[in-house]
Amino acid sequence: MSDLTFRLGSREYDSRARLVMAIVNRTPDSFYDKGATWREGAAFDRVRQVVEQGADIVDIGGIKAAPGVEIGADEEKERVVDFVAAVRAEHPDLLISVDTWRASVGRAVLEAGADILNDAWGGADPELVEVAAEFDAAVVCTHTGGVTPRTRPHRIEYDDVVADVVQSLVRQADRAVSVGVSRDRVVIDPAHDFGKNTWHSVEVTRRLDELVALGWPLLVSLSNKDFVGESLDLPVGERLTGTLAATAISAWHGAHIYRVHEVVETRQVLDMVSVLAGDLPPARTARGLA
Amino acid sequence: MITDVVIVPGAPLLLPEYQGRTAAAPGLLERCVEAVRDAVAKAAHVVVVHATDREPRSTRPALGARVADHLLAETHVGFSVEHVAVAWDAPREECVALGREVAERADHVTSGGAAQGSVLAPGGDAKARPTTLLVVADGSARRSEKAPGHLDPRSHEVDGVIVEAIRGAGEDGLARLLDLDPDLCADLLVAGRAPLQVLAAAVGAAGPAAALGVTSCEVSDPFGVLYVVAHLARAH
Repeated sequence: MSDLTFRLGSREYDSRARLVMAIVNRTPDSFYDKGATWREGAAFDRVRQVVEQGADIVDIGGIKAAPGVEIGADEEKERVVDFVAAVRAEHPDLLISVDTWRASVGRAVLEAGADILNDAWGGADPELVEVAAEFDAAVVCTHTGGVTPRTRPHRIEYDDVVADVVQSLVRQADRAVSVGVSRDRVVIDPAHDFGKNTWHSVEVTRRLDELVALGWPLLVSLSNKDFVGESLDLPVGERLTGTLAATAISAWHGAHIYRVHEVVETRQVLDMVSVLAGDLPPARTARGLA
Repeated sequence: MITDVVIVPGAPLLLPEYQGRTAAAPGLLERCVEAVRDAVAKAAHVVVVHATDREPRSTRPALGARVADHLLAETHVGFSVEHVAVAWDAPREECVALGREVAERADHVTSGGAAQGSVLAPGGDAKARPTTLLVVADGSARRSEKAPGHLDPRSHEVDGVIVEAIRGAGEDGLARLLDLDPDLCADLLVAGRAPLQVLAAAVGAAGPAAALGVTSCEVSDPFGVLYVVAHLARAH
């Protein structure tokens, strides 16, 4: 076991952590749930459900990742800021992350009680980490290959995708620390599918241990993504098994945070890997021991 | 002199190395610890009576001895401890002889804890001190279709004899443990037959003046294995 420790909110974790970050979309058009939690009541129900199911973190997003109608900062705030405040009021101990690349949105959600800024677009707004530093919040640095937010990869090639991921994430993480984010509040995410074709995402998954070895807590966002669908030739809605396989491999490599749609299944996979790795005792053992 | 007897299961799931995140048999360990704590509260000496493992595949001490040591460690009381291992398939006569030896040695336990004449305490006139027998013994492991040995309907009758004998300890009931048939108990996976017969012989050898009353006796079989947690104490 490495001596990695990291902090999210008031909690401290070590290298054995395998945390579930449940996706809560305040969007009418995200690829997987297609607006299921667009209404505030439905979004609240989703938060209550994932908390009940054992999620460690909720990741609230106001803009879908794929291209579409432009959503300005004011509208993004309308979608997420009051919602974050309400979730914080109802769940004082829940870790709240907000998926945004905008510093102005980041500031507003941290004032509303969020703990983590999930910068899914790789530092597109350089002031975001400065806001995180100001609030002593955690920040997720992601690799996108430098693409513009809300664009799909098109004919992108890398000499060595993992090397590019490493170089980008280390640069972003170092900059976050340099502007005042606590060293133990910086998380890295290779961002499967973002700026990557399926071959890239598969290779990143296969070589995830190289990212773990960098010594930062590692987040993976695998859930129902195209690299799973293309690997199995399955559409959205039929990718859970593939997602869980990738989750198990990532867990075995040592990733720490899993951004997911399905909490129950992910929790079971992560707990199973933790037991197999010797990081967690089995839940209950009687076989051969009675 | 034997002043207390405590009977506990020998289930490995009581050992810390086999604990999951939640207890497989909720409350069982706590009941065992409580019974042992009560039984050793005034003891100067504890004699652990346990069987050898039926299917040993490791070099570790017998499971019964390890369970007993774990429970004793939980009591944090100062006393000396000796272990008496009886072969799981020992003939009745061997159990009886061992029981009588245990009783005799208990009558010669000195204030230092060890028996007079033993290598630990050679000679002396010290007065015999209270001794607790900690007997690690289970009933049949064939009490249901899901039991380790699958269902054998005969298990309930044999287990009934064991339970009634312990509950009738105040009326010399323990002597009925000597009626347990070793071959039948072997078939029924009664891991505690030999230690229970050592117990019966030890208490019987002490005579009526040392009669034991039942302080507590709880019976369960959460996995198709009969567990008895009992504390027997000498009447004052």
